[in-house]
Amino acid sequence: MAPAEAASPEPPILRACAQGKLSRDAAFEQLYQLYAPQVLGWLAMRVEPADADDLFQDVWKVFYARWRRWEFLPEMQEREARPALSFLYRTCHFALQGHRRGAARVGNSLEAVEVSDGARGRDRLLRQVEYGRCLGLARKLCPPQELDVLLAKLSGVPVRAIARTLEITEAMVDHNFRNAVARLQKELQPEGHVGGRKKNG
Amino acid sequence: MAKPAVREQLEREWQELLASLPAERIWEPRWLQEGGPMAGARPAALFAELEDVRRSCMELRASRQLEKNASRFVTPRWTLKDLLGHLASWAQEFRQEAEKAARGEAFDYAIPYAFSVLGPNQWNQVQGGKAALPASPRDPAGV
Repeated sequence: MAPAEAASPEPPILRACAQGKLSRDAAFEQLYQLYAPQVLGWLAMRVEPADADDLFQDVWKVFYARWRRWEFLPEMQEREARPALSFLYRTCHFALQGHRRGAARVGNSLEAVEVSDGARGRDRLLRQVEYGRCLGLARKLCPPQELDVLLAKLSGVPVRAIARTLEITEAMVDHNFRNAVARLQKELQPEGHVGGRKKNG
Repeated sequence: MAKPAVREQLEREWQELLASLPAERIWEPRWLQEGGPMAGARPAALFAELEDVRRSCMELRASRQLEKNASRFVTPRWTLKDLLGHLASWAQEFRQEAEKAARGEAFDYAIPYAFSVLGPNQWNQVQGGKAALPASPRDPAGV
């Protein structure tokens, strides 16, 4: 996991911007370079490629609008602070909610959308995304909240920000994460083992 | 240790996935900067903005600091309570307008903006009167 308590790449960018050493737009581009793959990864794991493309732009539009009036609070200068990543994660979660409401309204089957291999949709680079075995299993097996937690933890989103976004306690974040790992562990057990016991014959 | 192995595998695969996503080729952020904030925003983006505001208001309401600081001035003219009353009256107005539009009804009224940067003072005064609000944070004629 990307440890949330590790030094964050954000404070130097935020500090330089707050001190006027970096323009808002230049700082935005640095944050974009830093986090665009994370945002795209979160979305690619949750929706079909064409939707991931659109939602990716939605998330960055919202972030850009916020970034133009971003307040540089003292706590954002702490070594492990990740306010931009936390905001992007929160916005991504809301944009996905909005997308699902819209999709439900037009009668799309979300189950079909979420496990789609991207065979349909626009000819975008995301069509070639390949998931590793473990991530692919997580995508198929984990309930939405567990997947939300798992992806956030993989990206180093602070537990507090995950809890706030998902409206659960920090203990519940850990619980969801452990459940997801246990679920994958169970599925990835060597052949011949079922439910922790060796198969007969 | 089996579980750490799963975690390591997840992390490795996640990094591989990120490396395979050429974000800068899919979308160039300069487009956004040239178009201005929220230019061409789709419903999902607008939903995200509104949901963020709604959640933030709920978090604020749940905060113990709110009552403690209710009488504190947050602008030269308005206390925190004044400000929240102002937001609430506009939120109510916005909801009514959205519901009216959703029903396909015509608007038979308007909220005139004053010829100044201070906003629709008359409406603010009427609505604000319910909570003893000044017309605007910077309007000395308010209250």
